[in-house]
Amino acid sequence: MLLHPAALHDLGTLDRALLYVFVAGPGNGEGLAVALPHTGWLVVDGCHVADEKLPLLEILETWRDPAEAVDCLALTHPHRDHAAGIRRLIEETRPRYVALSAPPSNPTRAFAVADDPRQVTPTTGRQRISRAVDALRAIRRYWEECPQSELCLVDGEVIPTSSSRVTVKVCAPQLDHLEEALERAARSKQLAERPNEISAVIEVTFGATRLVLGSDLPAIDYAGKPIRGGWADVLSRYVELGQHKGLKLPHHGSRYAFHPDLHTEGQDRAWWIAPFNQGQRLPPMDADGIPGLVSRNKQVLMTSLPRSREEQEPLAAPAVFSIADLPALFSPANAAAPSAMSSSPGDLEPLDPIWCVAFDDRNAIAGAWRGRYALSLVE
Amino acid sequence: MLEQASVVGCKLAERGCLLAVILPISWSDRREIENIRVSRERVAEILKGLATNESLRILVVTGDDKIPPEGFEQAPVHKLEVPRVRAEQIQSKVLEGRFRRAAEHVAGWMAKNQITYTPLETRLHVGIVALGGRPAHAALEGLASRLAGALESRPALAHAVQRLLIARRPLPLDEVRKLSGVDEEYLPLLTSCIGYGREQVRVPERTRQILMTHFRRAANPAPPDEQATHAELARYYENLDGEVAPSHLNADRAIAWLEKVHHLAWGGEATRQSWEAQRHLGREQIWERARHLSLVRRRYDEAARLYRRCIEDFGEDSYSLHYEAFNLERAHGPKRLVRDGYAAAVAMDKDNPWWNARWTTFLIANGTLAEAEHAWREALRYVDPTGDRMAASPWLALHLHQWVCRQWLALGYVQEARSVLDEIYPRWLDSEHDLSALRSLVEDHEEGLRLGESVYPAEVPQHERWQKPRVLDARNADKHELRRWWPGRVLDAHPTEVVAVIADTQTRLAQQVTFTDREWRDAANQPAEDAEGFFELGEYAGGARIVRRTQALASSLLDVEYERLVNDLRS
Repeated sequence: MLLHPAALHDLGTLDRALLYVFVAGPGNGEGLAVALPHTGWLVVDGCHVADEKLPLLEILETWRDPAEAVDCLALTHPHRDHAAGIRRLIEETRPRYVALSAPPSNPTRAFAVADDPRQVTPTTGRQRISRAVDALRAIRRYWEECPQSELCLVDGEVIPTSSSRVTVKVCAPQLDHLEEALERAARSKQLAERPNEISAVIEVTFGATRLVLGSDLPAIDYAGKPIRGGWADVLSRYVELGQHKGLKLPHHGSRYAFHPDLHTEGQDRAWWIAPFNQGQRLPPMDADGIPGLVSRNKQVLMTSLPRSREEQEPLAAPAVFSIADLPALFSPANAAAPSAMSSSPGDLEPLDPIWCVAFDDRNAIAGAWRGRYALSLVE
Repeated sequence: MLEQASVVGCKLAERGCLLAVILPISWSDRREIENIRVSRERVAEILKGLATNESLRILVVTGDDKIPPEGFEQAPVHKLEVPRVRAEQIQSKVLEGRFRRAAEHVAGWMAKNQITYTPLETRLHVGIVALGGRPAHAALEGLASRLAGALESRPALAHAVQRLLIARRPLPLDEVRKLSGVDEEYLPLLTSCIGYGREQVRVPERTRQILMTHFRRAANPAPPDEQATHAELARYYENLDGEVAPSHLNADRAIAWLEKVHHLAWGGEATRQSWEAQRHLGREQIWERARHLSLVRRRYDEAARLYRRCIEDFGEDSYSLHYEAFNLERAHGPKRLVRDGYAAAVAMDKDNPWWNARWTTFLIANGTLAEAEHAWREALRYVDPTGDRMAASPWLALHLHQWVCRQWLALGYVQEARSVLDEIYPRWLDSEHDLSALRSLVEDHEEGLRLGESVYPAEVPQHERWQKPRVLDARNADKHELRRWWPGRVLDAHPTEVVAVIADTQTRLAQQVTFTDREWRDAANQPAEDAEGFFELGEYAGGARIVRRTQALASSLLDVEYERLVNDLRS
């Protein structure tokens, strides 16, 4: 059965018997806000739209009771497309916990490695580094100011929440992999040599409902070899992650993050993709990419379509497209490369590139809402 | 200081003295007015104290009567004419060798052209000609620049001159010889051209300042033995005063003591113990050593301790509070102390542009965004409430707005940087190089946000973008015309393909494209895996495509800000 979403602006007061997942992805960057049942919020990563407005902040301001705590803000890995707005989110919501992939014995080790700005010439590259640096600095300050807020995202850690009805558990990275990655990063003097490899995987269970927030953890490297600490390792410890009701697809649906035990066949589940539109084109549109994912889940929810700003139009409801429609969704604006995907961000408003799905505790989806630029892909 | 000056003023008045106060040349340098703000306030305080006794007659010698010290605005003004030297007044016979020939040559040239020079200009002119230059119509500034240029090819002589310039007061001839280590043949350059005097060689302060400025700008770095030169001068003055405190010294010996303490401050590790042994009379003497530790030796923690000592010994003042914080920050000291120091300095001296610049930039990097925004609003409110300072000169934009704007950019806050830039008068953005560069930087960041991917190197000014290709030819080798073109950048290069971003010049939207190795080789004349950097892609009539690389400079001023933030994060 396919999800038939309502418009996000029709989403009124939340039914707090349910759990809501908001996935924001304007075409480069992603962030999630989870309204926990009864009370409390979980915020994972961050992104921004035009004019540097923050979708997650807009979500919190719209649907969160001001008296309600943000239980945890987690930066899954210090990568530029996940770090936008983290500082403002921390300062404006003052979470009970701020979490980062860092070793508990010495969390600030994660700050000791940062990209050398001199190695990055293009301004846009610097802007992305700036966001990561700004996010890490904000986390450090907050930890110094509120030591009790310090939380390390490592395998086995349970994120405390105000809601007694959910369990939020960290399934990756494993501590030894994290230590290794930071050691490597220190040697190469970069934020993390391959930041995706220290991505935190977060499992949220609400009664019989399981959600997997896959962040950017890869499964294999570019040569096709399994990555130590990657999905194969995670799934060997947590085989149940394949049995989920909601999955934020890891690494924007990239083939390098694909693992058959996670991307299990099924339907009537929410699979979200926040597209990535810089350097690589994610999710890939070839047979290994979107079509394969759609065939496994029958439906994939994309937060937006990266295409040229002038050609960009709000997608009329229900915004369900078949794989065959996909090429036509891309702008043919550039004569040099008619099928090229636009790298320029669209003029989106904060609530445009968003999917929201509500879950009950009996492993059922209770509702779905989409922002004006979100769409779903079906076979 | 006010009270001490008042006591001195009364004593001088009792003795019926006339007090002559010579203000340094920086007093009347309008470009320096903001830079020497603290010193000006101290001078004003001293003069106010001296003038407490109204019967004391005070003569203030200054280079510009338009900027009188506070309290002297109504004083009668007597203008002194600057003497002019005519050709026949040049006494070339007192010189020998190349300097005599140079003096004769200059005299001949002045006579022929019927021009006169000030004594200082005449002397520098002779020096330039003696070093192989030619006479020219130029004033002191230009002549000093030419002299510094002439010394570039004579590093040993340049260093001798620089060593002499380290002395602020006249020195005996033998001491000049010893201190400078100058070759005897060139001694007149120091004693007759740059300085003058038979027994005591005096380098006029104006000549000294201008030359030092030119040396700093020119290729000649500071002499490698600058600290040793200070130590040498400290020893010289120590022989003249022989005391650790000036309280019972006469005027000459007191001056020697002051000079000694100054040179001990800048003499490096070798003079540390002697400097510490002195009984310092005021903040300025401690500040000097702290500046030396901070600026020359990068020993920020020691500098911070000295500023703290200054506060403990002489009470709080905004300068000490600010620079204690500044040095603590660079020493990666406790953030809380840094924050408190910057905050206290601003609270004490609300309209100080520097204190506000550092306080705001500190908060941008270390406070909350709301605090940083509030600090900036307060800075504008107190530093320039009427907009007069911004209207008067570009100084405020260079010393306040620029740094705040750069700090926002360094952390990726482009809109905030834009709002600071918008506070700067457009005419300063047009006329000042650093401010024009800042505007380009902001516009480049804005374009980066708009495009999603940069397709021009940051250094390319906006007016050179989008209008026409910068590196592509109008026709290709087959004489075909350029039909279309796109600026672009390589994102990823592999043996089989190049992933790049190119932007449409009409819509100004960027798109990702992939070139096969063959396509890239045909267009760029290089294998795909070698592709990198910015380029322009051109399409010529007939369909041929050419890719030309556009060079990006390695770094920009912004790197300094980024680097500091990253290093701070690592610490």
